Amino acid sequence: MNPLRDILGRLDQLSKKSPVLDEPQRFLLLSIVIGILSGLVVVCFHISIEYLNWNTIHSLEEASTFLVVLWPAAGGLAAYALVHFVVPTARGTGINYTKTAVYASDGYIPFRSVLGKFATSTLSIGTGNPMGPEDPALQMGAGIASVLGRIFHLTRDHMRLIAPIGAAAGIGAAFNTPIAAVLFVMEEVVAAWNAGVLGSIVISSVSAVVASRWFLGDEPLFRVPDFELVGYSELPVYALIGAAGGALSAVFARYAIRLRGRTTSLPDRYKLWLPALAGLVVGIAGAVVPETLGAGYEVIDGALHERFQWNTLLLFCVLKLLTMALCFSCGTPGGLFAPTLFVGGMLGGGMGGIAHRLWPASTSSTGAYVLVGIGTFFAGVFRAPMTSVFMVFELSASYQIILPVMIANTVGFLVSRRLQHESVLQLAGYQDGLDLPSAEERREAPVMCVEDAMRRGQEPLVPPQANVSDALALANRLGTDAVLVKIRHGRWGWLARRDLARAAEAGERAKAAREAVATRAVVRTHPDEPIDQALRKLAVYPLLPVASRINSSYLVGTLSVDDVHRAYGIQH
Amino acid sequence: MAQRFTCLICRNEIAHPGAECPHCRGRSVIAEGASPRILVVVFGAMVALFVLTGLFARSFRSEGRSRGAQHFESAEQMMAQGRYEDAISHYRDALLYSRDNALYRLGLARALFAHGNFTETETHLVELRMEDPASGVLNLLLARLAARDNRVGEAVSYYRTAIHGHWEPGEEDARLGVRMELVEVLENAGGELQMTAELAELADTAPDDVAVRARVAALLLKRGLYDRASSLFESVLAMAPGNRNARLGRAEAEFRLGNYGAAKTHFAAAQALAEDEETAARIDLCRRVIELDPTRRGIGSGGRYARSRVLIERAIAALSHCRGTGDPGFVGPVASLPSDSAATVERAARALRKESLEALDEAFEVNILLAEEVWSVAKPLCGERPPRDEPLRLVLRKLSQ
Repeated sequence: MNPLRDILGRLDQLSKKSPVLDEPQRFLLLSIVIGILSGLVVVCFHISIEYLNWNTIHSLEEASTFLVVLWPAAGGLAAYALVHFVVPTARGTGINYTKTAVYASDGYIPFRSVLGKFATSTLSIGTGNPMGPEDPALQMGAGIASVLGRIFHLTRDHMRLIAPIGAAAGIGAAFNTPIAAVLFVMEEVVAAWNAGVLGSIVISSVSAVVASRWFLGDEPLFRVPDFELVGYSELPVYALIGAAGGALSAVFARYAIRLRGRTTSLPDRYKLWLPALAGLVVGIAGAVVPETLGAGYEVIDGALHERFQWNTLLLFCVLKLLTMALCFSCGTPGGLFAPTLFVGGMLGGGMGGIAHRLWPASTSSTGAYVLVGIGTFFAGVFRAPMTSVFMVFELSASYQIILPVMIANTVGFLVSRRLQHESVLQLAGYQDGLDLPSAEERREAPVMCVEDAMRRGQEPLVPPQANVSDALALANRLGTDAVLVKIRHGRWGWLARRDLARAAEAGERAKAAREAVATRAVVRTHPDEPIDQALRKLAVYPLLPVASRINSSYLVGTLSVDDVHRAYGIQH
Repeated sequence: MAQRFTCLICRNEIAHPGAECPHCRGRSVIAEGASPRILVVVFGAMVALFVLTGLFARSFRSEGRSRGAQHFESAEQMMAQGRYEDAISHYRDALLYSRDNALYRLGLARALFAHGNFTETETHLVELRMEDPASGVLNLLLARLAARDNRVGEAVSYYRTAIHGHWEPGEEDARLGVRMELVEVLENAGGELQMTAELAELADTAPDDVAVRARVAALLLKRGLYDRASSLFESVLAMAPGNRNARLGRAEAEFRLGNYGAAKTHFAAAQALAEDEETAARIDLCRRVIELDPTRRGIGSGGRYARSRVLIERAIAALSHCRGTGDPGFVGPVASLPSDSAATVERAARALRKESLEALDEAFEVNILLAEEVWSVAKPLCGERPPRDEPLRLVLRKLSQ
């Protein structure tokens, strides 16, 4: 038999069978497909940006400054016009867009937004606007995932989970850091540690990074020199850099959002020109200091290699902060990921350079401070401390640097949160009419446990030999619908008050309660169990025994729906 | 299974994906149901995108390589012209297009080094070295940086790796230069033992090149390895008999070895090639040493004995000069001698007064010993003052050896 015909026949059979794969299998398969496709699209995105970059700002070194000034403005205008007239779904930050898909649209992201984000961000970043490609890549990955989810006809529950999988693939491919991508999506997009989706996110992220490296090589984003901690005495310097990064991120959040609020309230005919205006400012800054143009990864790389003095680094930091805030506020397409790394790195390098001048023997070279600083501003802006730590760790592959990074990024995160309660993305979401949950919010929401609501003591427990009269009297006294009775070691049953009353009316008052009425087994709960889980059990049982964790046969207390109501302050 | 389309906003069912929801007028829809047949189509699309991305990436890499090469070429030209700043700029641009190109990065490091931007140079070199730890040129540059910062131990380690590391074809000869550089670094740092070892190895491995051998021999001479220096100069003279510097070097080596006859011959040969006063003075010194030397062959027992007496006389004269008693113009206090030294001088004077006619060889030995003793008494008294009788000093040194 012709083998080709055989294969085609099998495929035909496969396509006729419905369904061939069950939902979890399709979901897992999709994670790989999403990863590869997102990786490929991000490779094309990266190349497109580079091509445009080469043919605009980088081909003009010998050309007049006039053109350098104009390119970002032209790119910003073209990109925004595209968003405004052709693909409105490509507007705004990719993270918020993806979160909206997860929490409000059942994972639906139109494919048009993927194409739109690709084109508009290429135009904007490729012409030198100081935005990053990671956030658009995240949205593109999420969009591809959403499209594939729809093609594969996933259920609503799985559709809600598919966008973060694509998001992780997009960001993993763009930044070439699979672990940081997974953490970022869990921290920022999913906003919860959902074990159900973690495996798929990891698979898609890894697949995307493999696809990306296949074409772009496994060269890391930065070539990080070998650093080491000179001594523990320099840890305060790192903490200071963290504090400065955190404070700067809070300032950025406050003023960029204020400016954004003003620009978004302008009439549409003016809004169209804002990215061009921002681009013009970027161009003027770029003509004077070319390092502030574009995403700026090569500048970070240079700073890591001690290319710049501390004062130059601080100048870069200030200029980039201003231009990125302006572009972000004016709606220039692109993400904040790269510019935040840039600002943090330059700030860290500048401060570290000063420290090195003051205490040359006990401090590291400027490059080490650049590396540590990278994550501080990022942790403050995105409120993703875990991602910031692992990102630097993944970039540097150095265990030596992990301690300063943890200190600096944690301090940065805490200072930022202290000075500005909500993150930039959250505030931007509010301005766009979105009320999306954040990991921070969820992490800090108080979790009520059984021990907060349970009735302590063993009162609702009747002895095994108790008669109907006693059991009924106890239930009436406590006002509960049931009383508990011990069946065996660590097992309890419940006797309904209604059944006891019926038995009493039937003249069986003296009879042993367990013989007179039906004893139904009840599942136990524990003091540390969340109320949410206990309530699911209370939907089936009127009263739950709360058993000790260290001695499962010991009854710590009982829990009823009334107890839960009382704990939440709900009045009947 | 038939597909159902649901409005995302109100969750009511609608006819098809493009339809407006009759309940909330929304247009966003999702589909529910199951149909895996699309798998083949998706796989096909994936392959197509893979191929397209491959073509796009290939074109991108090729363009990047071409642009990188152009900048590299310009950078090399700038470098050759000594325009380091421009070269750095072009090397950076080249790296912008080919970030992982080690050659470009090495070029940048060289330009930065030449421009004096040592901190950045080192970061690039260390990074390159991680990829190629045995590279001769990388280790040499790192060694120079370390030597510049007085990190001698590190510099020596880098130099050694550079010597034994690999070099590009045609650059292998650089090893010798690296070893010479290492010797210089060790000399400046005072690493005598290490330097002597390096020089010895250098002498053994020196190629058949007049200039190189002459340079190595000069280093050996400078470091007091006279025997090896003499041999190496000899080999240079075998290749280039008219090399005056080699002739002078050989003469000096022989002179230091105490072979004043050979030294005089070579000094004279050098003088024959081109005359100068210094060489003439060296020839004269050699002649005077030879005339004083009591161990010289062919002068017989009588001659040896006579010269030994001259040695005592000149040793006593040197002592008198240093004490101040032998100089008529001397006005300072006469240095007093310890009793045992005074006894030595007295014995020497007695030996001079008594002229032996028999057992000349025995008397000769005694005289030599006395001359040496008087000289050892005179030396501390002379202190910092230059020796007045250089031939006497040289002869006695030779005799003591």
